[in-house]
Amino acid sequence: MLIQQLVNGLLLGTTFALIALSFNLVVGALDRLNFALGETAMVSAICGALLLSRLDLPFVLAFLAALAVGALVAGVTFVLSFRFVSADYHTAPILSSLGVGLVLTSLVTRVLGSDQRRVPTVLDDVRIEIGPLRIVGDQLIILVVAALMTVLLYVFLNRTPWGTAIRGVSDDPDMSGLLGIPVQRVILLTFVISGMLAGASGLLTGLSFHTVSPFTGFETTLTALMVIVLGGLGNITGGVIAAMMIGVIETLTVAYLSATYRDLIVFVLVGITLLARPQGLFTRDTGVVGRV
Amino acid sequence: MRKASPGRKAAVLAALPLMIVAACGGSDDGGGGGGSEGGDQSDAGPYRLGLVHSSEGPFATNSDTMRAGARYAVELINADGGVNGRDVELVEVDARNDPQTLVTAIPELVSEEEVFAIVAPVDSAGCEIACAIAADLQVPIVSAGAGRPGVLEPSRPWSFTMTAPDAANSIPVLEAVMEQEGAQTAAIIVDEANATTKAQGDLYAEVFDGSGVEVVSTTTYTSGDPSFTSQVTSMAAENPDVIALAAGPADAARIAVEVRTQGLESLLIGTGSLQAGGTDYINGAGEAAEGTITAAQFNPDNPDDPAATLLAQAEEDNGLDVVALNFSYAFDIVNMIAEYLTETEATASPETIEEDRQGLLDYLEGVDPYEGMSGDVRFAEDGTGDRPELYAVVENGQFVISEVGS
Amino acid sequence: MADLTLRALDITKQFLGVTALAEVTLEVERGSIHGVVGPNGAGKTTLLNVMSGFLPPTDGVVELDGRDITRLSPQKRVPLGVTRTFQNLRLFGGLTVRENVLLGQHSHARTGFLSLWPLRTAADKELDREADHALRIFGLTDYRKRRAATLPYGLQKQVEIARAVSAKPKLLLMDEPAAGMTAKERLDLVPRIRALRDEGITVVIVEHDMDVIATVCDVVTVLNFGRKLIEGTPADALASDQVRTAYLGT
Repeated sequence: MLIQQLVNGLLLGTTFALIALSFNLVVGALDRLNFALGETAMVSAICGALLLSRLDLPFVLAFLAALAVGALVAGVTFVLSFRFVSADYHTAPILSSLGVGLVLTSLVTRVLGSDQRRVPTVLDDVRIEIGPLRIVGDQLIILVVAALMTVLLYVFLNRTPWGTAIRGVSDDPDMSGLLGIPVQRVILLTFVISGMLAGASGLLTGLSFHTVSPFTGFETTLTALMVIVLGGLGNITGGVIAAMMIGVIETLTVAYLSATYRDLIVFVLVGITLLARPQGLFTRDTGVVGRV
Repeated sequence: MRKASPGRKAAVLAALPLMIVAACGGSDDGGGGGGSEGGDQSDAGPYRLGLVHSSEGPFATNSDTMRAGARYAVELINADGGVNGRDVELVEVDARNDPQTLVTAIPELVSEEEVFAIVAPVDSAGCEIACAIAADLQVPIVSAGAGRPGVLEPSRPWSFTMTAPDAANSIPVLEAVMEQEGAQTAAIIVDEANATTKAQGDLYAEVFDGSGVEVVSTTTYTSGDPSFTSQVTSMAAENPDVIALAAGPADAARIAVEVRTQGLESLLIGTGSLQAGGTDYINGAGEAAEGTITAAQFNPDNPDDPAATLLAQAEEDNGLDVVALNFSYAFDIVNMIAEYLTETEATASPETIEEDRQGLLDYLEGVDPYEGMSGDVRFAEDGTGDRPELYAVVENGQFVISEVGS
Repeated sequence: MADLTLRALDITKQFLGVTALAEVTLEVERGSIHGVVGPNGAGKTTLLNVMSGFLPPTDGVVELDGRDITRLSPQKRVPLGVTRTFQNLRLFGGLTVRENVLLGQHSHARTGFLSLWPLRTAADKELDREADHALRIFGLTDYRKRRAATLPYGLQKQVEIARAVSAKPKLLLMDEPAAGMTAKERLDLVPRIRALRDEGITVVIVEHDMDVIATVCDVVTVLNFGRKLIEGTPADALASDQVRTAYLGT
């Protein structure tokens, strides 16, 4: 059973990794945290869940819709909370994006109601058994889609002009501007991509948890913050490793101790990390490849 | 006993001229002032009942249902000529799930609105506060949903709840179900962050102990936890016959889905509160909810009259597929108060209101039974409802009620 | 009249009342390598900043191919064909050498919405070729996959020049390119700058080091205390008493 629980933990970590990736992307591009990303994930997931359960859309379409909603919401957040806020006020975008998050939550509860939304199982009868290990169809989807998104992101960032521009802007926005790179558009693009990642994370998490609730937005943000603090702010690889660690620790705590210790243990771990290694377990690379 | 507060005296004094005006007004519509027969008090203005609902918070849906039941009761009573020739009027307050609002709203209902009695919040947390304040002001207050053990303790003897506490109702029912299903092993999953569900966990332990079922796994989570994969994996390792859900309806739904996703075929069971919050559970779990058995204390398909007739009429008048527990409980509360007022011809006028309120307490203590929409209504000595022992099975997305042993 | 790429006419720049440049005129002929020298504080870098758009002049006009560009920002000058290097390195340390060069051509790259299309078009391939060409000129081909920050200082300077060149400028403004280079690297630099000129790029070099200037430049302007001291061939400039006085002090 231990091995099964480890796999469960890694799968939980996969969804954490996506949302942390989403946060880290914005940190890389702007050195700012978009605190509305948790709610962005929630809104996308709710839209995806409604499409799945109400309209019986195939999962692929609902997933694409969740990406689109995430992209849109993150783009709007950029315009509202970041674009026109002076760089001199470091806290302004934090508060402003937190506000966007609150607005998103209450918009969803007003318009769509405060009910939890069911996310129907996608691959109902697929179940892979390897020895004592059992992986069900939806876990497989989560794993494959998350891996695919990560690879696509990597290729995009490393192999396309826009991707290189994002990394350039996150390295030195002033210099990028001097080279004629449209910095604001690049940052907007970064937000849009981070929104897509958040949307993907939201719907995949919903798939894993079978429901999405309009009140999980800030919780998601908190989890992502834990991951990126532990993994090193802006460090993508560190973020993925930290996400897996937290997933496994949470799962094992619940399985062998008690659910009430779960958050406690993670918080203590993060607290110790902050005291002992404020830069995170994995240092932020000076280079952008590590950062983004 | 406390003396009436100065505020209340002032309110009564302030209200006197109003009463006089109301009396004069009454003579205008040809009521033949003073010449009425025994039950006719039509000059005295309406009987006023307070109702505290909550448009926000986790029980907002239950609260809406409860309010609809009370409104429907008042509508029927007034259409039928009212009580003692007087209309019944509901004075509603929206507490918005905020304790602070309750603290100011209840005294206002009593002193400003001069309500005779109050229909309490459906949720246990709100009910506990509202009842304590009402008891302080010596006003009878009845909840159509609060079921947490001890919720009425601070406010007895002024408070009642229609609901039977989980333990009283669910233990005998579930023990019988265990026997009926021939269960040998069981797993319990408990929401540790909630007093009600923790109590449910203890309840299950008692049920399994009492029916000789071995508890092979106990796992925990905290309210609203996203993932149940780990807990269900732990349970699956023991492959129990029964999985007992000590969980709120929404969480229970997700546990059910995870259980079925992992291919477990165990019987899912819940206490009466899972059935009370049934819509959330069934909507959340979908297919996975099928076959779940819960204890129950209310039968929306009660075949016995007068409940059967009242239920059918309520369904038709309100366009409901099925009458919810809170709806019927609130309906019965209003009707019991009306029955008391009719039987005793109490006027609930400022001079007699204290006496009349005391009379309502005695009446409620004594109902044996009141036959209403929710079936036979009785109250135990601690003011909680004494409900029938039923169980419910989820079939085709609906709770189907059966009597234990049937 | 000579064919001018850049003309900076009567440039005056004051900082809080202190005059850094006083009515300096610089006429850069097309296809030339034009040096600007002078002791520290002579106003060389200020002049370069005015020409590249980093500083607005207090008075005076900057013209590119006869067009007034005085008020254009550096970003707007890049697509017109004016690029520069910096005295202190401003590389994207985390990006590879090649990516640095590619970002230099970003103003020519596909950046419309269609550019999100991941497959490479013919235009992209052309840019790739140009980037590789720039890398070759500066001897960076072997280092193209290295992260820029991991290279020695002298090579990083080469990367910076390659990046500025990759935008295919008409005019390249170089701020002390030889500073921090080893003697050998300085020697290598000379033919590379000439190679740029041969490809049709007009070069302005601001430099403290007279040796480099004397070897590579066609024309030298000597500044001192914000004024133009002398202008002519490197030999003329070196022979001038005024220049000696300015450099060695009196």
